[in-house]
Amino acid sequence: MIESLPTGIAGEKLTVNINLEIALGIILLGFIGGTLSGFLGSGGAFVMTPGMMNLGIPGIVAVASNITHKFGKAVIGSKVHGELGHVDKKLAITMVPGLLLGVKLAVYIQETIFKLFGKAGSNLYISFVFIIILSALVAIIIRDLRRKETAKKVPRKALIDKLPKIPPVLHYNVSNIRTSFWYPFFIAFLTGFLAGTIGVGGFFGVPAMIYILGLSTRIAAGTELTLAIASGALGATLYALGGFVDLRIVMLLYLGSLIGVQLGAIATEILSQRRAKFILMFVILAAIISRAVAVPVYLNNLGYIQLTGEMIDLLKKASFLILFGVCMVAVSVILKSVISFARKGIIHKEIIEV
Amino acid sequence: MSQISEEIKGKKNIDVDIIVSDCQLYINGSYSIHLINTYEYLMEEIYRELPKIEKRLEREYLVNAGFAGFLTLITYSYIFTNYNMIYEKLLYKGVLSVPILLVIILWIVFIYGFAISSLLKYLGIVPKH
Repeated sequence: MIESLPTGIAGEKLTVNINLEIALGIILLGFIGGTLSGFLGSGGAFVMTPGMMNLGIPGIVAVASNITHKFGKAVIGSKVHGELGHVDKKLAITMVPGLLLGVKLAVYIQETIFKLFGKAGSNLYISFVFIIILSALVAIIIRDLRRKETAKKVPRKALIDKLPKIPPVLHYNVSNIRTSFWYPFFIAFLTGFLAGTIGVGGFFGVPAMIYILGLSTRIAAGTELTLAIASGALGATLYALGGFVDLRIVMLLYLGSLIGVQLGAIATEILSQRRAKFILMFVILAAIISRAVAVPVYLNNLGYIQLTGEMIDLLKKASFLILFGVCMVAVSVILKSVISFARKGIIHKEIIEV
Repeated sequence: MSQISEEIKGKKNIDVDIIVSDCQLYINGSYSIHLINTYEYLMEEIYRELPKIEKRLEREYLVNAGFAGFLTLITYSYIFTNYNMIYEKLLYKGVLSVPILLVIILWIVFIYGFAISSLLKYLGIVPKH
C-alpha cells in the first residue's frame, strides 16, 4: 500500500506515504468524524482535517480529500432531505453562484499559499483559520449552554426583516421568505469560502440561514446539504485538477465514516441535546488546542523560530494525543449509550415511542 | 391495514406490508390466506407468519450485505492497486478527469453505504425498516 503521489503543482514534492498505520489512523478518523456527524449533524470535518494533518498528511491534501469526502455524503443526505420536502430548490439555485465563487476563491488562495510557502505555509494557514473559526464557534456554544433552560424562549425575528431590500428581491415559496438576492448570495459565498478553506462550511451556512434569512432548521439543513453537493463537486474538481485530492484517503475515510454515521444517528434518539452540545464543545476545543500546539512546528519549518528536534517531536505527539484522546472519549460516550440500549433491545421501541 | 402494518413494525421490528384485498390477506405480497372477518383471527395469522418473514428478511440483508461488500472489496482493490494510473488521469485535465473522480466517489458511497446499512440491519443494531 506504500505509494507516493506524483509531484504536485509546487516545486515541493507532494508525497503521502500511506502505510498500514496511517491507513488505520485514517479509518479511525473517518469513524470518529462519521459518528460525530451522525450524532451532532456536523463536526466530522472539525476532527478529520486536523486529525489527518496530525497523521502527517499535508493540510491542503487533507482539506481537498475532506471536501471530496463531503461531496458523497451530501448527495445521500440531500436525497433524504429532498424526499422529506426539506429542500428549497429556488433558494439553493440562487445561492449556488455565491457558493461556487467562495469555493473558487478559497482554492485559489490555498494553491497560491502552497506555491509560495509550501506545505508548512499551507498547514500554518489552515491551522490559523481553524483556530479562529472554531474559537468563535465554541464561544457561541458556551453562550448557548449557559443560557438557563427554564428561560422563556422568545421567538427570534429574522435579521433579514431589519435589513434593506436591495433589488432584485425574490420570493421563496418553500421557505416562505421574501428577500433580496444579495443576502443569500453573501451567506453562500462565505459558506463556500469556508468549505474550500477548511473542508467544512455547513456549520456557518445552516445557522446563518436560520438567524439571518429566517428559515426553519429542517429547510436550512436540507438546503445546505444540497449546496454541499455543488461546493463538494467544485472543490473536489478544482483540488483534484491541481493534484491535491488523494482518492485513497477519501476511500479510507468512507470505510470508517459510513459506519459511524449510522451509529451516531441512533445515538441522537438516546442522548439529550444538552449532552450533545457538551460533546461537540469538547471536541472543538480539542481541535483548537491540537492546532495551536502544532503551530510552532510549522513556524519552525518556515524558519521563523528555532526549535530542537525533541521539542518538535513533543509538540507533534501532544497535538496528536489531545485530538485523538478527546475524540475517542467522545465517541466512546456515544457508542456506550448505543450498545447499552442495543443490549436491552429497546432501541427500536424508544424510537417508535418518541 | 396500514395501521396493523405499523403496529407489527413497532412490536416486532421487522418490515411488513399487510394488505387485505378480495377477502385475501397478503403479507409482503406473497403469503395469502382466505380471510375470516374477525380481527383476532387476522392477527393470529399474521403473528404465525412473522417468524418466517423475519428469517427471510434476515437472509435478504445478509445476501445484500455480502454482495455489496464483495463489490466494495473489488472496487477498493482495483483503485488501490491502480492508483497511480487513476491519479494521472485526474491530473490530465481532460473531459473525463472530473467525471471519473465524482463517479468513483458516488459508486463507493452507494455500494459501501448499502453494504453497511444491510449488515447493521442484519445484526439488529439499526431498526429493520
